[in-house]
Amino acid sequence: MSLGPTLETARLILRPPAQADFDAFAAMHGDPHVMRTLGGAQTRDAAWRTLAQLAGSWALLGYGMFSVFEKETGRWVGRLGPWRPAGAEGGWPGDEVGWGLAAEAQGKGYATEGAQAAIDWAFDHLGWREVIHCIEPSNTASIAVARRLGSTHLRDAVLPAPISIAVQCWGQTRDQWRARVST
Amino acid sequence: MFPLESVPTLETERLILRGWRDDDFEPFAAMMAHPAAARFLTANQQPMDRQSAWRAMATFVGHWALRGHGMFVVEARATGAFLGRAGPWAPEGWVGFEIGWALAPAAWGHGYATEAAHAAGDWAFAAFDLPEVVSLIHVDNVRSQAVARRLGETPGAATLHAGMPHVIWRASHAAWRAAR
Repeated sequence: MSLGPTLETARLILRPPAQADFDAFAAMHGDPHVMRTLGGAQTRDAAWRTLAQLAGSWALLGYGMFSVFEKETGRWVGRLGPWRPAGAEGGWPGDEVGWGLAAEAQGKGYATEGAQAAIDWAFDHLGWREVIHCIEPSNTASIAVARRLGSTHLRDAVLPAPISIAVQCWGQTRDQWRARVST
Repeated sequence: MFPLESVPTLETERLILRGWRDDDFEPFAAMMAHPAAARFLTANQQPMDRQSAWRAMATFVGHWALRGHGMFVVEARATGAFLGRAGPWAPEGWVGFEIGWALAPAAWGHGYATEAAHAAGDWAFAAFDLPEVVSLIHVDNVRSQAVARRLGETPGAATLHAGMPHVIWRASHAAWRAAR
């Protein structure tokens, strides 16, 4: 049995993280420009533990971030998906679908396309009634993605340690999501 | 990708070593929040908060998924109580193939760490082609140094881990077998 499902969109494949993803994953998580609004750049050693956490989340909670691949090239381009470390009582500000893409994969609409599939899956399979996206306020690219998803700025929060950064929580309810998708 | 339902269950005289479950989190978080346990388990030697403890536990689980081996949960055969964790540990950049152990303070002093590490190391040597195993131990962690000696490990190079002085203890496969 695998850790979780494989999802397919027009241009992307989403599947749970695996060791084969590590080199590309570490390159993105070591990129100070990409990571400046995602908690800061990580060493290769730290990035491996982050990858392990994403896999561990799938095993422990039944959800976690997916590795994202560009169909045309097979390249790993980022990670996104449902994320609530430590679950409902862990101090995370809500049921999140978050995203982060490697620099070369940004600006193509991949975050929006992948997040749409992940949000559909989360609402269909996890019983979530609201989805949020925790966005560092200077991350204008992600705020634009949130807007394209139909989300609005709901509230502000500070992510629990060891992340400990102030974020805007963008998001929407399941009913709002389904109303938008069906129109 | 290693399927987590394939994590083996190892049985010793008094212990069961098994894969992680969601309900291991509360006793695991309690262990990591205990000052005596945290002293040699956390990067700042201070008790660990719940969110960080969950990430640590998720890392142990993910280590199994990514590597095909990893830390087992150690539970008491008689009661099923969570006692701690023991087993392989080899994240990216690590000093070698480690056999590590950490028990909640209530389980200290019964020889459980040695019993658990023996079982986990036997399994690792049988399952993987390992010339040796290592254990990274803080220079002040006298209890774990005693466990390492019972496992047939001897002190090797000094190193800094999380900015703190540690020694890399080592046992060849032959030394490990000789200590059984």
